Amino acid sequence: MKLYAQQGYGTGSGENDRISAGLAAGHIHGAIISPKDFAHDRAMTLLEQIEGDFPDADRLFDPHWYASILAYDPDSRMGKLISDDYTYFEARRRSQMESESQVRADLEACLAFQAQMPLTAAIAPGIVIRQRFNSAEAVIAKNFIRNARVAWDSVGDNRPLYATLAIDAEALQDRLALEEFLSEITILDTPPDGFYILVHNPTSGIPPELVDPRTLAGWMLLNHSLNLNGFEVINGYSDILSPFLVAAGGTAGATGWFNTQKVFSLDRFAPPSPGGRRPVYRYLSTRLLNSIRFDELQLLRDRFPEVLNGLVTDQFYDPENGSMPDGQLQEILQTWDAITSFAPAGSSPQLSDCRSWISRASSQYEQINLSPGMRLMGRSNGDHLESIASGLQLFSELAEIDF
Amino acid sequence: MVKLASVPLGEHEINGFTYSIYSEEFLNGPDLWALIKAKGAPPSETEAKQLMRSLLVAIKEVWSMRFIHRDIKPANVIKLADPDRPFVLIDLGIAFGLLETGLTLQGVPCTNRYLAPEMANPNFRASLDYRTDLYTIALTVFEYSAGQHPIARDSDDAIRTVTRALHDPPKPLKDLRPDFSTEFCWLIDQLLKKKPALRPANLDRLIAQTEI
Repeated sequence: MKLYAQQGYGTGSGENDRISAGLAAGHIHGAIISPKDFAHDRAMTLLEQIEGDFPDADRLFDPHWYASILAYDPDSRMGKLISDDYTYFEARRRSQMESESQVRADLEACLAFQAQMPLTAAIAPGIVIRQRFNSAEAVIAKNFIRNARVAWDSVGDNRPLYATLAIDAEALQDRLALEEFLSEITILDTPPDGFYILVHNPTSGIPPELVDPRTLAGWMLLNHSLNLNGFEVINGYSDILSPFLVAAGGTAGATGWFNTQKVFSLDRFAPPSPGGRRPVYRYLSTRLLNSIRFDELQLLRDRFPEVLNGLVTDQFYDPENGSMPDGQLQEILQTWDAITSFAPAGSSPQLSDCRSWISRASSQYEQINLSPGMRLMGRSNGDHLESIASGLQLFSELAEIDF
Repeated sequence: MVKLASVPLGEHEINGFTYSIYSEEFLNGPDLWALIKAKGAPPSETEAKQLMRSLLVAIKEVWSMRFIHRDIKPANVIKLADPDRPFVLIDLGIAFGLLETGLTLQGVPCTNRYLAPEMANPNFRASLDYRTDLYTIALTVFEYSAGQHPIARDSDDAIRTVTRALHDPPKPLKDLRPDFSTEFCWLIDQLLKKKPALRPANLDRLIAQTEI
């Protein structure tokens, strides 16, 4: 299983460079660069540094084309995207993208831009399929996918190509429409080498593990079907769901250090809403299939040592320090280490593993909840397990397999 | 694929009806249905792969013209003694051209026992592609290899046959041919999935997987 850094704001530099630290420790296998948060010259420097220091790491660039539809709003937060640097990026109205010639032109501009970067593969632009697979956005999205290979070939680059497949979480719940859509994209005349899948949520404030079972099932079905048809699948913003998606047939998952890098949502480009506070440091427990607050870890660790992962990054949560890590760098290294540990590099989790993870987590929560004063509340509780279990069951029906 | 013979394709009017008439080459061999019914020695995996490869190459050729055979079944496959041409697919009578209007009359044009599930979709014309033929290839290879159909029962009527095709999971080939490799059995089982998107669709890769 591969895990990538989903880059975002606050990558850090020098000793605090999260991506280099993650690669050096072997907790991640590559990075997906975000042009919103990184000026082009910094992005190039980072990519060249990764290429030199970690030549086996995958280097990808998410062109953020799905945000072009928001860029006309003067209050939108496009960051570095709207700058002289990223010349391929332009504001677009949906009506403009209904023209296939415009789609081809945008594809060629974006891919020609990426061809100049030290990437290991290119990601073709796309837009989010909102709400339904028979929407106007779905037609546009399919046009981007259908024309991606021809556009990349016209650039004359022979690196692998991934097409962006961005879909509303709600749209994934329409089983029949999803099956029809899959039927179409698995039989393209000029297919890409793979897909970069993004599942869109109304807000990135939703914890990634609290996924609707139908959404998880649809997301896993995408991975499964595309893999059967020879495509590689990179799942963006997949966090703790990464092992499940890779077990279904995906190649990689990705996650980052802020919520906006753990759950995909266009709200990070929309005008900001007031309020918000610095999140509390959390610890991702593979036993619980969940991240818990550092103070909850402190409370649990002596009585229930199984909630610890037994990995090198446990050292960042020193009980002498109340299990509080020094900073966000340590927190994200722990997250990456934990997710990767579900299946070390060179191996892939199996679907049968998924059921045992859930069973183990359920059992652990039961023990904790029976213990006086130990019950985990809010996001740290075990409510997500039923959703994930239901999602797995639904996926097994959709994929016509028993596991 | 069967080749055309000396009578060229042409239209002839007889008693007020217009007929398309042509001749095909004579193929000196039994069809697979006769061989299945004869209950002789089951084929080896090598022979099963040869059968599959022959059919895949045929539908690749048919699909290159944007046609789908739609009626691949043991009765439409002839076994020859020619090692360069061990199996031949015949009868394009209900072949469907994606770019043409249909010539077949009312009803679902296929044999119920070899019905691909998507053929029962009332909008099937809009959704068909060569993966329908992949499904019926897998049915044919399965039945020839195992001596029995993975889903249909001989005692069923037409409605029950179609219902099973739509809803019943097929028997795994490995259960009936444990001597076959896991990889080949998996491939056949996968091509028998109800949803076309779950059938591996890369024809070149499939043909390569059936190389002896």
